[in-house]
Amino acid sequence: MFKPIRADYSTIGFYSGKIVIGIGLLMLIPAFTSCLFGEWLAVLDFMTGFSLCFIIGLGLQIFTSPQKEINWMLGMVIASVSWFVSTCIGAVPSWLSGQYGSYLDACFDVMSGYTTTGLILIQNLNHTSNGLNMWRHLLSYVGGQGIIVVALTFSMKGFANTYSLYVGEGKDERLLPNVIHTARIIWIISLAYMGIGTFFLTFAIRLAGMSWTRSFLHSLWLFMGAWSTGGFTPMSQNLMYYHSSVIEIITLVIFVAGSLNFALHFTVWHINPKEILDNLEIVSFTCTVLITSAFVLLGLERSGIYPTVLSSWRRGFYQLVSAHTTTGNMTIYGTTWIGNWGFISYSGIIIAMAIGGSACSTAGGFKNLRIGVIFAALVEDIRRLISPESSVFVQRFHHIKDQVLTDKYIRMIMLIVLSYIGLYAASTFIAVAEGYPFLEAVFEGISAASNTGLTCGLTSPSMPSLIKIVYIFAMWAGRLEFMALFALFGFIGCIIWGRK
Amino acid sequence: MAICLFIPVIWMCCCPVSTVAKEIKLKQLVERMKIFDGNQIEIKGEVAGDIMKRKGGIWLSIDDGSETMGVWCPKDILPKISFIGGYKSRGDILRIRGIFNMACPLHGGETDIHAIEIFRVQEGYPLHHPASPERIKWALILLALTVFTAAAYWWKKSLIPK
Amino acid sequence: MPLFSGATNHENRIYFRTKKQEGQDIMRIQMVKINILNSLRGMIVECLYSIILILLTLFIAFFFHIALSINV
Repeated sequence: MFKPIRADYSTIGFYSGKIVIGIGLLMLIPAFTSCLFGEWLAVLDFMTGFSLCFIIGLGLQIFTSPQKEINWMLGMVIASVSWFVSTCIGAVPSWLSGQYGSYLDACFDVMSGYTTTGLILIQNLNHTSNGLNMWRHLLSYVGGQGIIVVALTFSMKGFANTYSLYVGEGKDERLLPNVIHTARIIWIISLAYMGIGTFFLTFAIRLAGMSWTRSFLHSLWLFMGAWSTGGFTPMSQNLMYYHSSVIEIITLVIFVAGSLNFALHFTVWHINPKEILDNLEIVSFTCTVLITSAFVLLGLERSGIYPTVLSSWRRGFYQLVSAHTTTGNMTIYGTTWIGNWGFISYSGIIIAMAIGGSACSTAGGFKNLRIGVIFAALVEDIRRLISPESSVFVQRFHHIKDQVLTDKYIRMIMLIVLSYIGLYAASTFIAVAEGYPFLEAVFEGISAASNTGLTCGLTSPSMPSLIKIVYIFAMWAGRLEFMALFALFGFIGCIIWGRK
Repeated sequence: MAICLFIPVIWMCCCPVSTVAKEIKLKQLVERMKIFDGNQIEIKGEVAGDIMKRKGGIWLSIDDGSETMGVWCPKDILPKISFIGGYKSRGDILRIRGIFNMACPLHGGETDIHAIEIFRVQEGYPLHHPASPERIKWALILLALTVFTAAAYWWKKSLIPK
Repeated sequence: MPLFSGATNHENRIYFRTKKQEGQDIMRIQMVKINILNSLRGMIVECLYSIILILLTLFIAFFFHIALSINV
């Protein structure tokens, strides 16, 4: 362990500064929206945020320079530092809006947006300006694809060959050999879905009885929330506000698509559509959805709280897929989970949230690929046990291409899954220690750490600050998949204990 | 002593029927769904968001400060509504008497209230969001600093030979 | 590298086959052209997948409904 030198700090500062400038540029979109609707106070908030971003970002550009090649360690540290700084600065316009109890609450919401979680502490959501709503949903949309992916897309100077930065953000698949082309493909896929999804949602919301302007805005926001598996909505009732099964089905299709691996999207679109039948992740996702929905539907059928089988399926399945894809859109009140659904359904939702969506997607949780690989490894071990000792096994699995399952790969996957379990346990423990009931603490803890955002009512502005801080950390760690955060801790350790 | 006992009884008998259904907060309703399911309740809150006209009725969104809930009402009982709650206005305050459904059989198992009677208690008003001079001053100072930093950045960049 | 002394021929063969395939994949990916029709086809395939998932769970819901009502 060596103490970092000036060149290390300078490089980290340089790249983080660029990301901060990117966040500043993003603030122009909600500022423009507010201008359109004459919300001048909101314009002022966003311009203040914009100025702060540019002062800090350009200031860092003046005083730092990329003095070192980005290695794995630096790439990971830059990714985690950028996410932290972006949250602190992104919270400024939200906080200035006056709809948050404190700056910490605003940071919580912004981190929840970036990490596509969807837990909220905003107050009086029904009276929010269009600008602030645009900002909240935009954060979620951008966070879903990745803040660094945005920087890569616009090929900000100096970002070429920064694969480690891209990996630091929890995405580890190269769609194309060049990382900038990969980032662009991710955006092409997201924007294509955005065009089509918004188009259908606008008509569905218009049919639900809203004006054209509001239909368009709401469809855009609902799309951003659903595609990024964020779960933000512009009204406090969440999806219940619209009272429409058509909107529920469209958003469901959007968040299932959003939770798929970008590498899978790319392969299905441009190389081989049949990949969707063979892919390990899809097989794993289908199996876990069917098993957990069996839990939920059985529980609902036994509890008998819904009058018909169709209504029980409509509520149960939507919530289950919303949990499994780590979206967090809600069509029931939070108190229903524990009070009315019964323990079997509750467990189905908890398992679904913990497993989460696909790797290299906008979703969180363990990820389907890891569950699939662990299962394949288990099958291999059983086969080994029942075969003669001299037989040779090479276990393979299909994910985009045929891959050999090595012990090293399984070890890496198990480590990440264990880290997730540790994080789930820690965030549950904190809420229990603060005096919340166990079932609620488990639900909310897993929801935060797996970036789901379903709530049973525990998350509220009156929640103790310690829980807010722990959840912010859990969302951050869960989204970046630990590695970047471990690198940051290692870096801090080097600063304190490293040798010169 | 006997008079003391009789006074509450007489008071209860004299009260109009509508005040017997106790006004309830939506938060309480959501927390004790099973108790209130299928019962007549009374709520008071602001109309927020949109008034959505559908076949056979209208959906209102009622926000009482503690929670928001959808209220389904037939077209003919809805009073005139001048303001709907949003960023630029505080919506009209309505008092609604209706049946609470934990899982409504008519609306795919949704938690809602089917209104029987609606009164407008208070008219809404437009909301203004004036910017304080202090805020404007700080925004301008930061903007000036941004311009200054940008100038410094370009100056530094011009010093580096290409 | 798996070409360590203890590796069997079988393991080496599979390793080389995988490597060769990786090379072919990279060549193939580089030749991909973004095409609107292909993208639309891909989107429809993915949406169909979601719809199949929806139908499968609907089947599960009815299955439980019927199974539990028979027990009663």
